[in-house]
Amino acid sequence: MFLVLLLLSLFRLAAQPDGPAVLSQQARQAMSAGHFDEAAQIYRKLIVQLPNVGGLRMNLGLALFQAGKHRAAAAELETALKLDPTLAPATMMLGLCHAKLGEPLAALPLLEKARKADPSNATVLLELADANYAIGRFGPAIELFRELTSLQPANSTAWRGLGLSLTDHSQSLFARLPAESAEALTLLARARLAADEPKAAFTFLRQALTKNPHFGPAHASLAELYTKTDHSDWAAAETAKAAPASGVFAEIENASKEALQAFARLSALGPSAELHETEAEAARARGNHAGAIAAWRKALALKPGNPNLERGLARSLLQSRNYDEAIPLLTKYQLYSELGEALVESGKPAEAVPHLLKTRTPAAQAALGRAYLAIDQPAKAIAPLRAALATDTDGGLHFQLARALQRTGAVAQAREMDRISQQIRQKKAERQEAAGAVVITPP
Amino acid sequence: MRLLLFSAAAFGITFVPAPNPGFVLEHSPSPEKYLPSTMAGGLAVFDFNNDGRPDLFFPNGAELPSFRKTGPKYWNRLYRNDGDFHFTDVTEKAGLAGDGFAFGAAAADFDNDGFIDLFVPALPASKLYRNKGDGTFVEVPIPATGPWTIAAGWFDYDRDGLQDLFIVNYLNWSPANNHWCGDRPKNLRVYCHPRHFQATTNQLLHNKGNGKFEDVTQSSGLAKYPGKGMSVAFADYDADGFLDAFVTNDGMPNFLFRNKGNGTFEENAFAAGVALPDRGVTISNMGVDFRDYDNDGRPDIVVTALAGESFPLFRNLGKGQFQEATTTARLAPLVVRKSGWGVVFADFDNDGRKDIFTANSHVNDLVSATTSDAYQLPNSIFQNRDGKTFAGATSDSPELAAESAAHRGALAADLDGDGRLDLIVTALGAPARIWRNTTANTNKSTQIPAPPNATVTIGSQTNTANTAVGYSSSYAGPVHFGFGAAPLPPEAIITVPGAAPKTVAVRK
Repeated sequence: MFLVLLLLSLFRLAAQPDGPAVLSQQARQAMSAGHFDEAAQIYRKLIVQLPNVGGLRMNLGLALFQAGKHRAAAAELETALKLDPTLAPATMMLGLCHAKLGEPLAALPLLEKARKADPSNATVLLELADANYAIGRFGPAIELFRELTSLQPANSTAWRGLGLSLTDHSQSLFARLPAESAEALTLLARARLAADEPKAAFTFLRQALTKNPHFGPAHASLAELYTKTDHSDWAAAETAKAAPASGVFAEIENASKEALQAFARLSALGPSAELHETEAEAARARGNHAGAIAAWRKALALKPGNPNLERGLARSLLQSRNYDEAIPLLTKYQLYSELGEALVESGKPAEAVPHLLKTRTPAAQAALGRAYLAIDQPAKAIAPLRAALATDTDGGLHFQLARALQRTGAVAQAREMDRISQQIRQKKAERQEAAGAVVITPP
Repeated sequence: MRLLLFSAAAFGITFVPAPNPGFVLEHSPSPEKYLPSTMAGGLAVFDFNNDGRPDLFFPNGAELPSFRKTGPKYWNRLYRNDGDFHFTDVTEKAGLAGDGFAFGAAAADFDNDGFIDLFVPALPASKLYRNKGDGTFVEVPIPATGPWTIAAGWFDYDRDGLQDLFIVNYLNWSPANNHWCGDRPKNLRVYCHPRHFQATTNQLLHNKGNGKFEDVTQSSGLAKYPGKGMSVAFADYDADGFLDAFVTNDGMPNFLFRNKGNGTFEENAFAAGVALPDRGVTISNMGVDFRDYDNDGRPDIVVTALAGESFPLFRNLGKGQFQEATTTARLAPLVVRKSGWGVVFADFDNDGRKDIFTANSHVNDLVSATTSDAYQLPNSIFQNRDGKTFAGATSDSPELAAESAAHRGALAADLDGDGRLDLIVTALGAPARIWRNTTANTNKSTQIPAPPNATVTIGSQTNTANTAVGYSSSYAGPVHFGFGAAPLPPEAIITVPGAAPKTVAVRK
């Protein structure tokens, strides 16, 4: 009897002009037309009438997701799953929402579940790979990106993801090596050799062979160095002692090689935002900020307004001292530390202060101290400069603190800061001089 | 709009190009990026024939790496000022064509015969020329300088009445150690950063009289301080009656050699607060001027440097202390992206406050390949608004603002005797430029002849007869003062360290 009454009641609702059937039809049409906000409004009306139908909540979540309202979408999808835990698409969509919201830890279990349900779904695969990469699980990320590149060999995002995962994987393995080990020193040498800095590479290789005179990869690298520097006779002697890499060293080298191959595949696909983004990052790492800016601009031409790309461009503009262009972008993305730095560097320290007060990073503290010093408020400069002292690599922060202390009458403390500043500067100069004085000698 | 135009004309500083004397700075650029090639460009302004008009001397480059002046295009040039911006090349008669790759000049009457002599820093060897007074110069032997003398200045450090020679040595470069620097994969070869070369000490040549000089680098204490000098300027910054020397160092902290008054110097830049800008990092310190910009009677310091480093302005607080004032003087945003060489404090609008002119260019001709900075730049004028702050005034001179070049040396001098300071600027591979001051106001000015490095005080203003100015350049002429609309004060007081102040009448 109760069922009959319910069915009659539903029938009556559906027959009305704003009844579920009509609304549902309208919502589907809005979705098809790409009017996602409109669709969401219609689904909300439906939900008022049928509040406990999980599928409707899921559809609302999907509409909101498509409209770019990921937080609101996630809330609806969670409700949908509470109402009906078997809604597989809702699981997947919720995973994607968390991925878009930059919440990889929340996204991971959902995406894994979605992948089990639909193993060939490339979107899920990509987001799952990205989520793993984002939390530093490079091994699973590499596997997923490999799978994706086999599924979609023309997917530039996948090749870039694979290259980045492999690069970061090799770096994480490197970080685990003892800093002064023959393995670590040889890898540093190889990086210098790749950057065409044979003297620096030679220094590292000498140190590596002092640690382990029989370390085959160091001899192989030395042979390569000698060949590059036109000492083929010395190279022959080293080649004889060379041995193939093994263990972690080999793993790092292999990952690096595969990363290069992945980036080469990305490049072979032709121009893409991912390719230009990779080029921009490479240029920035080499200190070629003009090159980085050009590459960011090319990427943005293909993906206008992309926040990640605009943030990258903003940072390169800052590093390139193009403050006029950097400041609006840094403001747009609320990159307060960099914005403050840009304002200080462009001679507007008073304007920088309110932005720098919003963030506590050492870089922001350093810039804040510099800003206060420049506007002749030395007392206020002292605390932020002290907070940033640990990051002083060139003596500059100690020097600034010395000036602030001196101007507030703390002469003895200022003298001590000046002493440390000079010490840091002196050590840096000595290192540079030593690096310049290196002579490549025979085996 | 009319009001704005009137305002700009009434209060701006304006320059227009005057005819060039004809000098082109040959610097021998090449793919080998020999370092001297980018370092040429100092100059001198002095009245070699005592006709009352400032003449122009332009040191010139040579073939590299031979350092040979293989033809007239490499000659150093002396131009006689015939008035009204007409100049006659008198190099041959004067015997100043020189040899070697010359970088700058230092002009002063070292033998007190009433004629201004000339030292020319050069590779492989610098030269000292005595002005014989008949329009010719003769070389005078001096102790060896180097390994690379890039600038110099005359000052009487021991107050014996004879000008001594402070020699600025750059670094230990030679064609044999001209490294490859740059980005090999991109085959971008650039001039090496100074960190690739060893520092060298500056030198002091004591003038013994009778045309003899003695190298007192060791005994004076200068030998203890290796640096990478670019320029020098003198002033008695601590008012102890002895001239001190400020030396800019490229990629190293600056030196402030305090004259202890006993023939020795102590390096005091850190204690005085002028070694580094407040940021505490070493910068590429280039040119320098050392004068009182805020009319408090104490000589201040302005330094040019490269893009991103700003042009630090050090205000003299007294008691031997300076404080960087680049930001509070509102210079920082105006200069942060500029790279400069020559620099002068000079009252271009005769309002009684010294303005700043900088000759701009980066050192690295390929800088735009890797950064947003440009190599060739227009020069800059910063107008001193109230004795404390500066405002950009370059755009008031549209031709000057539009002319980008690899500028190097710069000096200010009243070349046409109209009471306004004109500008002489060099640029690599380009004709030297003369900019005629056309600032439209009725402000009064005067020029006071004074011995080298003497301090001249008129009313509340102080100016100094700095012989070493800007980048490896030298001015040996009268000291300029502007007074705005105020009547000219009747007298000036000239103070030479070690002598009683002398009062002279101000020329109407």
